[in-house]
Amino acid sequence: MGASYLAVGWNRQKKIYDWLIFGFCVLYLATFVVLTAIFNPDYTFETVLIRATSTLAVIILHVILSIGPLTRINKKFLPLLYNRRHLGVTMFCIILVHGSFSILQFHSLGNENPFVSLFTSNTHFGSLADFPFQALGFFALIIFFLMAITSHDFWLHNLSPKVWKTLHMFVYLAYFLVVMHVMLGVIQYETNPVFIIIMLTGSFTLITLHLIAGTREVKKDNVIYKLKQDGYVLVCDIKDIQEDRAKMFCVDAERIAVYKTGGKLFAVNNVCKHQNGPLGEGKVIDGCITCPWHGYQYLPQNGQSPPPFKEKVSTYDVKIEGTHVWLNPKAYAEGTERPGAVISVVNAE
Amino acid sequence: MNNEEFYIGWMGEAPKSFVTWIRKYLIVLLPVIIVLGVLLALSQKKFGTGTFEFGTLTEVKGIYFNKPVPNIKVVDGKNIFGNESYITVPLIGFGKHGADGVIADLEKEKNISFEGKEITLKGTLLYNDGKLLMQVDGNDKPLVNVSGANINSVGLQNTKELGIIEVKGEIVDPKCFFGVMKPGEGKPHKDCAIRCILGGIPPVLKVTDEKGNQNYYLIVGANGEKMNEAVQDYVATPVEINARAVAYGDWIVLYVHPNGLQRYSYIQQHFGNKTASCGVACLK
Amino acid sequence: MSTVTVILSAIALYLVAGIIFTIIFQLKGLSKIDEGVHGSSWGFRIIIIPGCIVFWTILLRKWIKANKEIINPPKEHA
Repeated sequence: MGASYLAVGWNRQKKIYDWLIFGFCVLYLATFVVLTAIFNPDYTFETVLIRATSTLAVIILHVILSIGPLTRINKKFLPLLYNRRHLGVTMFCIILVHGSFSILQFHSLGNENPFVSLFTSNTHFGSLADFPFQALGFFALIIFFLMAITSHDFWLHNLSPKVWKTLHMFVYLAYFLVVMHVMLGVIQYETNPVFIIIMLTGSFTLITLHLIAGTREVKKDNVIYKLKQDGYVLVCDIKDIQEDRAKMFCVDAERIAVYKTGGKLFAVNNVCKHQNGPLGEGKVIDGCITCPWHGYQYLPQNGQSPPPFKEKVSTYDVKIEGTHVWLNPKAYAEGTERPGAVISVVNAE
Repeated sequence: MNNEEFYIGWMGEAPKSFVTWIRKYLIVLLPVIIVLGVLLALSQKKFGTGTFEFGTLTEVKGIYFNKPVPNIKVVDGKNIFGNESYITVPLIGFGKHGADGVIADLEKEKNISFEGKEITLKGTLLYNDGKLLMQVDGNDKPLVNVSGANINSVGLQNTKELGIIEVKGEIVDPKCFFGVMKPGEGKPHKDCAIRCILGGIPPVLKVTDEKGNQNYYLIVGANGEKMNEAVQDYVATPVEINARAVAYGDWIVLYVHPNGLQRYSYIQQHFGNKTASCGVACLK
Repeated sequence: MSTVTVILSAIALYLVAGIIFTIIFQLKGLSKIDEGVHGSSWGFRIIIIPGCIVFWTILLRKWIKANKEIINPPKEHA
């Protein structure tokens, strides 16, 4: 991006989103704390805080991880995706309270530095029953910390999108660590099966959503285009593509979006430079291809973001014969101007 | 999808169909969050009834003894035979520390040994399940008074040999268990219990009998030496102890035999051989 | 000293270096490595502080590279 950075680019939608996060969190914390206080009057403040924050964070983590596959399954979930980072940072802040209080409570005021104590008190790394589960939570917290501090777009640009995306994919490792932290920790203490049932239901739901979304993508990618000539492949008919919209084709392992706008067809790489969003599911707005995930824009004829932005995607050749659309999967350098294919009146009929 | 309906996050308003959909999602999410909050809150194990009188200092007068663990014996009244009865109040330090350091500092300061002397200490009480302990913190100026002369403590030193016993239970740190933390036992508290015991708080074996009643034993080595470091790998996990039991008034002390502390697995004890033979059979 | 102590001390040292770097970087380097920083808000500068402390080596490399380009601008292709 080339525009000046703001801490948060506030708009009405973001404000609604954050108020909802706030409302839901307060509601949950209040429910948990008040019920514990009523039904468990011998409670201690620290334990209730540690438990209220940990359970809330695990719930938010499940919501966060389900947003990706949900939007792939149904586009209507996109408003959840757009501000997902706010949800992530919120979760980190909550889990930081849990982690800090746990280290304070369980490891401070002793004969050892609390962080050293974390790794040297219980050293049964080879035992499931005695496994030092707190270390698992600590590493998950570190991953969430790295994700939270790099959630501003400044980091996306300065760490490079590839490194940034890789770092943020570690959320799945963190999730695994969290599940193990729960299973090897509190679940070995609590006797009520509710805890293990909730944890397993959560994991099962997430895995199922990812599998459903994943198989749909794989199906699209595995379509084989048989008709080929001079490097071009026949991909569809002109009327398969709506005006100002695109269709995505995966040819020779390249995901390409073919857009129809202003009486022409243009082909650009399907992968948005911002966070790998699917450009083929976007729309032409004010003459620009607009990514459905975060609204990044590119000009259809050259794949360049309009100034002052600087993102560029690859472009491709596309041609029309009769009503058939032919696509050449050979990519031009990012930002290369291509003429596109003119749709004549005859073709369009 | 309608061609006109396209969602862009940086716009002020989302298209209507998206708004309606998200509203539906939130209407589903709302009860889910509440139900989870209710379920998780109500499914927690009951918290213990221990009390730590945080912020309240109490003066306690009694006779100090360094063995088997630093403690003071406080006159509690008279028993049915007309003899004075005592309760033993084990002493512990601030945070995750034993009381040895504080007591040693005070003895050095006064240049006398407290052993067998009447002493008044100011500290924070913690108690549960019939056991009373006191935290003495150097910052609280814990020493109120110490008598110059030794008290005739023969009656106080009365011990009763209970013979060799074998008991199964869990090693806890008495400070957390009897008041400071909830839970002060089990897996979630394991690291803390280890840190407390390594810091000098005397390890205690908690034994639950078939009726669910709990008995507590102080653990020391065969010759009365401290076992704090020796128990590190056995804290907050089922263990079996083979020891000479000696009653010191209201506390029983276990003098653990060499190799008398072992891990104990209920599963292995009851199903171990069957599982192993079944496993072998399955493999074959 | 145990291995854990050595590792934690090394991390602590790295982060202390990160704090020192971040102070200088926020004053002098930040605007050189990314055009988006011109005219950016105070909130933005604060929000990236933890990241600067952790990822200071990457930013330092970018800063050095940016300085070199000012001295020897890269040749434009004809």
